[in-house]
Amino acid sequence: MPRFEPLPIEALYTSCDTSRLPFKDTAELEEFDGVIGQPRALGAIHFGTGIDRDGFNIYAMGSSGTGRFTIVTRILEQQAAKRDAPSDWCYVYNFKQTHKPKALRLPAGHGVTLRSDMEQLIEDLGSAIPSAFETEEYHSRIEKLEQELTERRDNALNELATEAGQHNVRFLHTPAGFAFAPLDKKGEVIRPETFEKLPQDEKQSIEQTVEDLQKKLQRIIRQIPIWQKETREKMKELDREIGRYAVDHLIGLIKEHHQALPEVVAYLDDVEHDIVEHVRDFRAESEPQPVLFGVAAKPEVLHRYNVNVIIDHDGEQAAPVVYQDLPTHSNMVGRVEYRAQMGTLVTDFMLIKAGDLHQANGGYLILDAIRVLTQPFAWDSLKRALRSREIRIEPLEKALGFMSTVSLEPEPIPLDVKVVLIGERILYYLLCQFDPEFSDLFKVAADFEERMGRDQDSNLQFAHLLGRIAKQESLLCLDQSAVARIIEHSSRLAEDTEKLSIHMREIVDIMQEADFRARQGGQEIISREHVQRAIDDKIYRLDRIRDHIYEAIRRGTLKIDTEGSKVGQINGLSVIDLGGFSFGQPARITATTRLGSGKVIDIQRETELGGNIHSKGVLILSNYLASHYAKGHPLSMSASLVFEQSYGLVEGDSASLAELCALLSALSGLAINQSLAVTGSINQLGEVQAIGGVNQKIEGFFDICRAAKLTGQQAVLIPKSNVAHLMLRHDVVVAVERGDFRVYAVETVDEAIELLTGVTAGARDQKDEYPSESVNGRVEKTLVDLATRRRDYAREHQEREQQ
Amino acid sequence: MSDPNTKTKTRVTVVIDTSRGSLDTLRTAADLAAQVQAHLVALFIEDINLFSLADLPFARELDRTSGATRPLDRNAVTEALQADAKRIRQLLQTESEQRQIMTSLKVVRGHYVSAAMEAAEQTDVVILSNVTGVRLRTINAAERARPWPRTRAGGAKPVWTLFDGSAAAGRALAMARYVSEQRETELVVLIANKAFKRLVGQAKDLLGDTPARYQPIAAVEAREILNAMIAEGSSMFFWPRGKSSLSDKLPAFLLDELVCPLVVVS
Repeated sequence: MPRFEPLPIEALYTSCDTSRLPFKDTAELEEFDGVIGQPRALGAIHFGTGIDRDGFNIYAMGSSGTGRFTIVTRILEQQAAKRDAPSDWCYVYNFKQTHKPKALRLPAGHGVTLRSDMEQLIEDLGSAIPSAFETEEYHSRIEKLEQELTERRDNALNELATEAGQHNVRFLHTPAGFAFAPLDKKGEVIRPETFEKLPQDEKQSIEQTVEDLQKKLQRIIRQIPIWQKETREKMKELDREIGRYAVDHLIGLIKEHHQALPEVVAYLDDVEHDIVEHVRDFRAESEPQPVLFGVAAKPEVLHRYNVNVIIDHDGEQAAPVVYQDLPTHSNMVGRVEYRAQMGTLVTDFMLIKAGDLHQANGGYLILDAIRVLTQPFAWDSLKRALRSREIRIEPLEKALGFMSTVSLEPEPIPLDVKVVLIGERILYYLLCQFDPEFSDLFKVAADFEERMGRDQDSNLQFAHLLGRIAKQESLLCLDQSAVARIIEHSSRLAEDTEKLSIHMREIVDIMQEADFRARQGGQEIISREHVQRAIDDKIYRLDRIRDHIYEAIRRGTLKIDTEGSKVGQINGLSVIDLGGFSFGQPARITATTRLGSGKVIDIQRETELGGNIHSKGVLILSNYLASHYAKGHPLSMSASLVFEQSYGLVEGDSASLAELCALLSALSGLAINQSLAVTGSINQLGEVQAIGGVNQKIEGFFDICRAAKLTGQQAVLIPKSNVAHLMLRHDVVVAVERGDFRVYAVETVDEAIELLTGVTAGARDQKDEYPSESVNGRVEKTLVDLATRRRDYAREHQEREQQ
Repeated sequence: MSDPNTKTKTRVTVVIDTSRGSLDTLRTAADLAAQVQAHLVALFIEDINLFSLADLPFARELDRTSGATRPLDRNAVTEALQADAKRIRQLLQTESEQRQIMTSLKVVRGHYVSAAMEAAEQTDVVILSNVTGVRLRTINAAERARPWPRTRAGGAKPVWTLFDGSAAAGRALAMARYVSEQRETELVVLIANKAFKRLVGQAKDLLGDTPARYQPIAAVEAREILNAMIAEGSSMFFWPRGKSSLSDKLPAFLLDELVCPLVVVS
C-alpha cells in the first residue's frame, strides 16, 4: 500500500491557535452587543420591522438553540424604543346595542384617567341625584301630579254618580268593581218584587238608564289607564328635568377634561342621556334586592357607567414587545369572562379581557410557531386578525356553537401589529406549501444560520460572544485556552474545520458546566481543562448505551473483527444518535454471490429494515457492477447484502462503499483486511462521496480497536471530501501520532478496494480489459463466467424443453 | 284568632271592607290596639244594597280594572263577601300573632254608616275608612313614584286631631301623637278659637316634648275641619266623641269627603 498515505495529524484536528487570540481572558474583551454569523437573518428582521405594509410579518426560522428568540427580541426592543407608546383602549357600555360593548381609543395614559373620572362621577351622582329628588319642590310637584290624576278620576266618577242620582240610581261598590242600583221612592235600592210590579215601559226605562250609566262608566274606566299613563309620563319628564339638573354640571366637568377627544365626548353625551333616562336607577339603590338562597343579587344599575381599560400604556415610552408562551385562541384575541350569579352565568363589558394582540397592538408580538399551530383554532384566529387588521373577541365556545347563552360581541379593535413567528424551517416550508394564506401574511423569512465561517476574525467575534455570555450568565471569565477549546468544540459541533456552530444553547451549557467545575475546584477563571471536563462529563452521562454496545463487541456477542482477512466481509460504520449525543458503531457487512439474474438483494430492504436512502445506495452499487464489468454480457449474478446483527432500521447511503467493496471481494475471491473499516457513499461512476458523522464513525472503530488492542494496522477509510470535517477526539489523534491508528481518505471505489484487499484494482487496457490478476479483472472474469454458465444453463434448459 | 268574648280594658273597632284602603286601615288599627293593649274588633259590613241589587234581573257588575260587565246575582255577591271575610280573618290572625293582641271579627249586614255609628256607640275607638264614597286611590303603590323614604320635611301628609279638653280628646291626642311618631309625620292639633290659648296649654302638657302644630278653627264643625285639612291633606284624623251622642251626619259627611281614615275616640 505504498501509494496510499494515511492522513497527517494536522488533517485530523484543527486546533485554535491561542497565540492569535489577543487577550488573556474574556474580562479583557470589550463589551460586545452585536450578533455574529447572522447577517441574512438580521437583514430580514430589520427589513420586516421597517416596512409598514400589510403582510410583512416575519417568520424567524432555524434550529432551536440558535438564539433566534434572543436576537429577535433584542432587535424588536431596539425598534420599539424608537416608537411612541400606542393608544390605550377601553371598553364601555353601548347604550344603543347593549350586547355590543363600544371600544374607545385614547392617547396613552388617558384610559386610566377616564376610568377614574367615571368612578368619581358615579360616586358623585350617587349623592347628587338623591339630593335633587329629596327636595320639597320635587315632592310637591309629584303630589300635585298625583292629585291631578285623583281629581280627574274622582271628578269623572263623582259626576257619573251625581248623574245616576238624578236618575234615581245609586252608584255602588261591589267586591270586584262597581254597579248601578235603581232606587225606590224611599231612596232604598228597589226590591225585586217592587220592580216586577212596575209598568213594563217604566221597567224598560230603568234598565235603559242603568245600561246607559254602565256604558259611561265603562268609558271612564277605560280612560283611567290613559290618564295614568299621561301622569306617569309627566312624572318621568319631571324626573328627567331634575336628573338633568343634577347631572349636567358633573358630566360637563369630565367633558372639559377630555374635550380634545371627540369619541369620548360623544360617549359622555350618551352617558348623560342615559343617566337622565334612567335616573330612577340611582334612586333605587336603597331598595331591597332580590335574594335567592340567602344570596342577594348585586345592584348593577350603575355598573354600566364604568370604564374597562383593557390596554393601559400609562407611563410607557416605547411600543410594546410582547411574547406569549401559551398562544391559545383566547390568550391571543382576548376573552369575555363570566361570573356566577343567582345560579346562572352572567357577563358584561367589564369582564372583557385583553389578549396578546391587544397588548401588542401598535408594537410587536413574538410567538412560537409550533405552539400557535398546536393550540386549537389559535392559528386561524391569528390569521383572521392579521387578514382583517382588527381584533374581534369571539369566544371559542360561541364560534363552535357550544354556548347558547347570550354573550357579548365587543366592537372589534383596529390592529396594527408586527408578528414574528419563531419556528423550525420544516414548519415554514410546510406552511408555504399547504397554507395558501401563510405566504400572504408572513412575507419576510428570517433564516437563521446554524454555522458561521471559522477564521481569525470570526474566532475573535466568537470570543467576544463568549465573553458576553459569561457576563450575562454571571459565569467566571474564560481564559485564552478555554476560549480556544470552545471554538474547537464548536467546530466539532459544526462537523467542519472551517465552520463554527452558532448553536448557542449547547455552547452555553458547556460554559455553565465548565464554570461549575472551575468553582468546584476553587478556580477564579475557566480554563481549557474545565471546558474539556464539561464536554467529557456530558458525554459520560449520555453514553451508557455506547458502553453496552462496545462491551458486547469486546465480548464477541456482536461480531466485529479488527484483524485478519475475510472474503465478502467488511467493517462498515454507522452512527447512532441519542438526541444530545451520537456515537459511531462498527457493523459487519457481508456479501454472497451466485449465479442469477443480476439482482442484488438488500436483505435490510427485504425485511423492511432498510430506509429508502439505503435502498437507493444498494441500487447504485448494483448498477455500478452492471456498467463497469462484462459490459458485453448480461449481469448473471445474484448477490445478497446484509448488515449482520443489525436489528433496527438502517438508513442512509454511507455504507454503500463498504457494501460494494464486500460485493467485489465476494466476486473476486480476494479477502478484505478486517483491521480496516470503511465509510462513504458512492455514485454510479465509482466516486466516493461525503457522508455525515465522520468523526463519530472513526472514533467508534478506534474505540473497538483499542479495546481489542491497537496493532498499528487498524485504520478507517473515509471519503476524501470528508477530510475537512475531521475534528477527532484527542485520544484518536494521539494514537495516530504514535502510529497506532490511521485514517485514509479515498476518492474512488478502486482506491478503497485496493486498500482493503492489498491488490491493485486495475484499469482497462487498450483492449478494454482489466489485468487478469487485478481486483477488477477477477471480478469481470467471475461475471463473464457466470454469464456463460447462465447462457449454457439456458440453452440446456431450452433443449430439454424442446425434447 | 283570639276569643272575641274575652274582656279587655279598651276595645278598638275598625270598620272595614276588602278594599285596599280598608286593609291598610286594619293594619293601622292593629298598631293602635297594640299600643294601648286593646282588643281589636274588625267589623266587616256587608252592604245590604248589594243583595237588593243582586236580586234584580238586570243587575250587572263592572270590573274595576277592565270595565267589563258581568251578571251580578245573590250567590256571586255572597261568595265574594265570604271570600273577603275569610281574607280579613287571616289578616287578623296574622296581626294577632305578630302584635300579641286579641282580635275578633264581626260580620254584619246593613248600611255602612249606620252600622259604623252603631259600633261607635258601643266601643272606645272606632276607625272608619272611606269605603262607600267614590273616592279611590288613583295610583297604587307599585305605580307611584315613591322612591324616597319620606321625612317630615318631605311633605308626607300630617296626622290631625281635634282637641276640646275632654278626656276623649286627651286619648285622641295620645293616639295621634303615637301615629305621627310612627309615621314620622307632622301632628296638627285643631282647637276651637274661643278657648284656643287654654286648650293649647292643656294639649302641650299632654304632649310633653312632642312637637305639634296648633291650628285654630272657628267652630267644631265638619266643614271647618275639612277646610283646615284640605289644603295640606291628611293621613289620619282623630275625632274625640263629645259628651253628647255622635251626630250621624258628622261622620257621614266626613267619610264622604275625607280620603283618610277617621278615628272616633270615646
